[in-house]
Amino acid sequence: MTSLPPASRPAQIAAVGLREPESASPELVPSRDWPSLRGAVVGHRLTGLALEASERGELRLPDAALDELEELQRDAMTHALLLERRLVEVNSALTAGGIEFVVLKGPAIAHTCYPDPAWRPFSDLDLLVRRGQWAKACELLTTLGYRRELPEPRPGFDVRFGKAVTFNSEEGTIDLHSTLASGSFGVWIDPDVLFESTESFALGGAKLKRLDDTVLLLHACVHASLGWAPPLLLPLRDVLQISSTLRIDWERFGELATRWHLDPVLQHAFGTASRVLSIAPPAQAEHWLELTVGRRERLILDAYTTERRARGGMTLAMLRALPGIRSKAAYMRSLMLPKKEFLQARADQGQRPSYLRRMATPAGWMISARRDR
Amino acid sequence: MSSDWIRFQQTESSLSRNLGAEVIVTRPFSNRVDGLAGSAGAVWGRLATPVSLPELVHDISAMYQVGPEEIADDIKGLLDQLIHLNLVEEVILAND
Repeated sequence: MTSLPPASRPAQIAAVGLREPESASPELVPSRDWPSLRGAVVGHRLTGLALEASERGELRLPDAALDELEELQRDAMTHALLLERRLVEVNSALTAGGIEFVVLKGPAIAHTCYPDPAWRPFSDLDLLVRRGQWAKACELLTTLGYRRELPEPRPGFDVRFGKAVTFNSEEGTIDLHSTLASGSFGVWIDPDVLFESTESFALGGAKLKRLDDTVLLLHACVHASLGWAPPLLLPLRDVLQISSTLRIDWERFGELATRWHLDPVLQHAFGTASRVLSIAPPAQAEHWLELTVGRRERLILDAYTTERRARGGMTLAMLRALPGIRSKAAYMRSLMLPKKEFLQARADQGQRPSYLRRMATPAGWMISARRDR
Repeated sequence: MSSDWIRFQQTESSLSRNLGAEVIVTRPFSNRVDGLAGSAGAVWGRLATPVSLPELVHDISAMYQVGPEEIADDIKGLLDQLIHLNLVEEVILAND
């Protein structure tokens, strides 16, 4: 095994409890360094892990900084608790409406694989619903007071091409998912299999569904690798936390990964988590770390994980993955000629409501994609 | 029936987070979040499993090294309040 380089301070915080500290008696963080560390702790959602590191003596903060950290954690946990309360309430409404759903990420991870849910904050709820129940679920959330952040670009887009839609209310945000990833991986992942791969967990007197241990890890890898570029530390921690605490059926894990073209994603997720957090990956993950990823797979992954993401990389990868010319044409039409309501909503978010601009943007992406080859 | 036989426990519907020196609690369909600081947080933690009032008083007095008679009324008051908020309930154990 090759030795791992020392982790940055935020990464050391993200790794607390999973490995030995870099120093038995760490130096006091200088007050002048606290603002940037605080920014990283908040940005990567590490308030709970930072407090745990402080209690273990692995992070030494000036008193004022520690007070501030405690206050930040209190805010984060109050928010998480309110979201959990809302989740139980929404569960009652969705269940009464006959809508089947699976809780993704947040509470499903905090309550099943962390020693204390306070270590794992979350900022919204992520619920996966069946595509056949999509319209009904959206309607029900609307009756519960949630407002859709953006209208559907064109009728049928959500179910055919979408990954998730954001609903906001005073009670918090719900991301309603029809699958686990955007773009090409969203095309390849079979949502019906996700509904066949669930376990239940109890929360607030309710029995909720989550992905089973094996698919939970698969989703954690997808989220850690494809969710943000560069990856956030907490999703990277999730990958190693889940693989070290839950019972993973590695054979099934590998089968699903191959079927859904996720091998390069797993290589990226395990490799990045291990390198950034300076923790050896699970032995079973060595298979993916040693894989030779083909050029085509590498290009698709790069569309999510490099600067190509900001230049329409995911859209272009999606276009290539969609089967048949009709699907590709319908997808491009939705992007270039969305409904006026969609354009107006985007304008309210600061973008100019111009069809010409909508058409020029993908054209620009394609030109730059050709240049990249 | 003696009150020694009555046990109390957090309700299944209660939701909480431990913040070290404080615990925050709520439950679905309620519009309040309560903070339980210091010994109140310790009482909440002990209520994770069924406990009688005398046991609760005994455990908390041992934890804070004060006489049971000094804290019994406060603990009883807190317990009543938590029951009123549907955060704690009486439970009947099969072997009682």
